[in-house]
Amino acid sequence: MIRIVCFCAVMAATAAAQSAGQSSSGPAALAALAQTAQQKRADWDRLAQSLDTSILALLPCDPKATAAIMEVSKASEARIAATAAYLQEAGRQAALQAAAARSVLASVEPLRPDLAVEKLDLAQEQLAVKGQTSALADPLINSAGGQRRPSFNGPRDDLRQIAALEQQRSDAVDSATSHADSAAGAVRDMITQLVAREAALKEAQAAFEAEGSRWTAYYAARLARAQMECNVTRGVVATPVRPSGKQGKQTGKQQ
Amino acid sequence: MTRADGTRRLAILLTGTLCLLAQSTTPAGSGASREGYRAAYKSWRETDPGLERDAGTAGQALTPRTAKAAEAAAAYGASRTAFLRDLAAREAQNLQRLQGAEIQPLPTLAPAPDLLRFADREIGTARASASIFANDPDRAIQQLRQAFERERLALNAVRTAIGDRQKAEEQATKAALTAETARAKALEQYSFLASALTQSADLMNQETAAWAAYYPALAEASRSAPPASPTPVSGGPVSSVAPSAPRPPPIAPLPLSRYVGVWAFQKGGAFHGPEPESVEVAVHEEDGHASGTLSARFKVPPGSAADPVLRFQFSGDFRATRNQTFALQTSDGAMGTIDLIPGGPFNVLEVNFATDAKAGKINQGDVLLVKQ
Repeated sequence: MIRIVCFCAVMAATAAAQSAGQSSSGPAALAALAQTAQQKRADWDRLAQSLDTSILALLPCDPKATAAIMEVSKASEARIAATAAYLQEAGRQAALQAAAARSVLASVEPLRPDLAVEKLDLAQEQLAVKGQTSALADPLINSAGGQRRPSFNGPRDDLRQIAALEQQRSDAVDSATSHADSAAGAVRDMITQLVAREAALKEAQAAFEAEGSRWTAYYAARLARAQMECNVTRGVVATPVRPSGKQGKQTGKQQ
Repeated sequence: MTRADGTRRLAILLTGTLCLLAQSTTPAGSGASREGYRAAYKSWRETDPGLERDAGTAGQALTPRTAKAAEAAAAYGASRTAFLRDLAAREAQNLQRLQGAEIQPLPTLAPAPDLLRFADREIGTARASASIFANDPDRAIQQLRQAFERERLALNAVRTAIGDRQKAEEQATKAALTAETARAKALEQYSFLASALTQSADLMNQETAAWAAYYPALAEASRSAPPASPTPVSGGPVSSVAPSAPRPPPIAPLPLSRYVGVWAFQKGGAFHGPEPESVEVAVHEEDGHASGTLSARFKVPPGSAADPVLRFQFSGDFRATRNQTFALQTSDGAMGTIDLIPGGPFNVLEVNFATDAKAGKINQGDVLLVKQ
């Protein structure tokens, strides 16, 4: 009954975990976002690098000049959005990785006492085999008229082999215990670094958002300058006003 | 809360308690429990504790007793192996999780040097343009100059933001690299851990097979044993050098000379597995006990790092079988077995050996040898 109930619970948890896993395709999703971000950067780079050259041939009030700046600005926004999406997903996956590492640690930590119990049970088995071997070495069994009785050599060899196998098992448990300790230590280090990475990614995400708003402000200023060039050409001069303090916003109105 | 709700909550609580109880004696995700194998062990050990003690005198009567003990040993072996397999499977699963959790540094999506170069170039343009109009009294031109200045300030803000972001990204990359190093170490330790647990389960499986062989052998030995004479309690010790002491009865069904002596591989002789250049085996016998050495050199592919030389010692008691199997230990500590198989002609011996696998070492072979 216990096993059935537990089995059902485990199956339900597994199904839920699988469903969660499917909804976020993990590294594949991240790779796709990285590819998109790189593509958007290439698009922006191409437009941004050629902006001055393309505007140079135009008259200051040519609407194509404004359109060209607007196009680069939009490409910049798209690049920023794509990179921000990547960083957000990277942060989410870093959190998942840290949680998974914690779960591995939670599994390896109780292994040490398990292995200690294993060793105790094994010692009991070894003792029992020693007892059997001694019983077979009893003179009543092993001597017939003062001679060895080869008929018992076979079972004695079998017991020797069993004792050797038990010793090997004991060595394997010792090895497992030592590696369990080292593995737990390494997983703990890994968790510390994953947590640090998660925090650093959050900072990188915030810093990139700030950078994004600076780029937006820059393109607004660039557009304002183009507008001003046009105004100067037309002989339109803005009335001086107190600066609003916001970058990228036009500081005057047309006269 | 309705009565139905109360019943549901009680059922959930009960289910949770039962799961916790089950988990306390069972490795996570396991079907085998420690309590289960312990009960099987106790049952086995209590089945017939006097089996070996009675083996010398019981004769045929020992057979049903050994059968019962063998059955209990098999039940215990199965339960114990299942427990160890579960333990190994749990850690193998963790190993898999670690293997799939590669920690990648951030890719270069917004390369700071390129962006800084771009910003610097634009700053230079804006500054140069603004300086051209610096002393122009025209109001419109001054407004244009201010527009250039605002653009330059915006670019400076971009520049600072890029630097801040670069620092944060460098921190993330550094943490990712350190975490990946820790993961690699954990992975290595987990591989050893999972391998040791799997080895433990495999050894238990072998031990179960050895118990299955032991009990019939004990029954057979008891059946075929001549009536035991009690050890004399008086009359002084038996001389170990008494010249008239009868020789032990023949042990193997074939004369011992079919095994004992010095044997060597003849060029062009038959073999299976790695091709030998030379093999020499010496077998000695004393009181039904065999001991010997094997010294061999094998052909290895040119440039191979494999060690062509193999040396080991072996020993064990001769048995009442045509083929004799003895335990061996190589000069570098590997364990294994050697079979001595008398050939058709009296002067031919087939030697078949296998040792624990060790990197760069020959660990099995089968050769026909001729008596020297």
